[in-house]
Amino acid sequence: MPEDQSHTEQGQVERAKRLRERIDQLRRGQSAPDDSKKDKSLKEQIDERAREQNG
Amino acid sequence: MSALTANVALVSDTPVVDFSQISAVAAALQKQVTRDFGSIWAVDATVGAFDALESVPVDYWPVIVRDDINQPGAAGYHTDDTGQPFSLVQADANWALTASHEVLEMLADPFGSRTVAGSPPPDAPDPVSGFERVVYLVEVCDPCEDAQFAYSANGVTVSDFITPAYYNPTASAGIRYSFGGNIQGPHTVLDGGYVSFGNPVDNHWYQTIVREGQPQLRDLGVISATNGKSLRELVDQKVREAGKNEHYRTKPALTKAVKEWPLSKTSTARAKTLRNYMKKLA
Repeated sequence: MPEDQSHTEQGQVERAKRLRERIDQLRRGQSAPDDSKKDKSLKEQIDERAREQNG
Repeated sequence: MSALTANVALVSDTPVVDFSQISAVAAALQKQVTRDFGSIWAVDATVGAFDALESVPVDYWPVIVRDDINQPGAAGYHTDDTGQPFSLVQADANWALTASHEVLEMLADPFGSRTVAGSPPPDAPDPVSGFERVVYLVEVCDPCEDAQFAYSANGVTVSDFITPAYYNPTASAGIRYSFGGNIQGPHTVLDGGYVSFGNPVDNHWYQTIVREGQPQLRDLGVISATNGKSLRELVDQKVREAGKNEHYRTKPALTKAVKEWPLSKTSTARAKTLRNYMKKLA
């Protein structure tokens, strides 16, 4: 157990920040920050990166 | 149950809904999921209460209560930048009912693109009545979403929901089409509700809406490319583009926390009894 007993992890804090940015965009009527990045699913993006790194 | 457990986080991002309310509603939703919903939809899930968005573990799907999203396109289901689901709930007088709606729909179809084929809605007008077969977007609360069909868990008002039998080809005696027994046959929509479906021949999408007992058809047009979005997000976008936002909840936002809510008289009385008992033990 780390000395810091805080239940808040860095990943949670960064995710909360991204979610608030997304919510602000939704409130302004913007459906997505960059739809071009969402052309592919997460799995497709991971597979593509793996192929790139494996040459 | 051996299913991978889904974890939903109920969290307030507004001072008008405090943690005592979040924890009470999360407990009610956990009871609804475990007692009513999980066995019917083969879902194993937890609903946890969190005090801040920063406290939500990274593998939980957040249902976030805010006081500033009372506008088309903001409230409801969304996906984040990695395709994970989250929902926004407007902090109005019925936010617990809306949270129940969002949690159940998220659990039945977390990624928002599940469809089931079947005959067109029975009361749908032309041209839909002539379709041989349509595909329904699985949104388990929409057909029975009106507050008159809600029920209570722990004294908190929660949403009725359809069962998988809603997608059966024909009606049969003794079959439950919604948990509360309000829906009487497959593909039907109750007053104040709606259902979304598409024609697989040309991918043209529609909604049947029922208002004051009268079914209406909302033509959403063709969905030609998903662009990485879920079908639910695309259907919602089409509804906004059509300029018809009747199904978005536009009730007045809460302007201050309701301190008494949702403690019931029975809960308060039980707490008093327990405190008296502990005094005797001390």
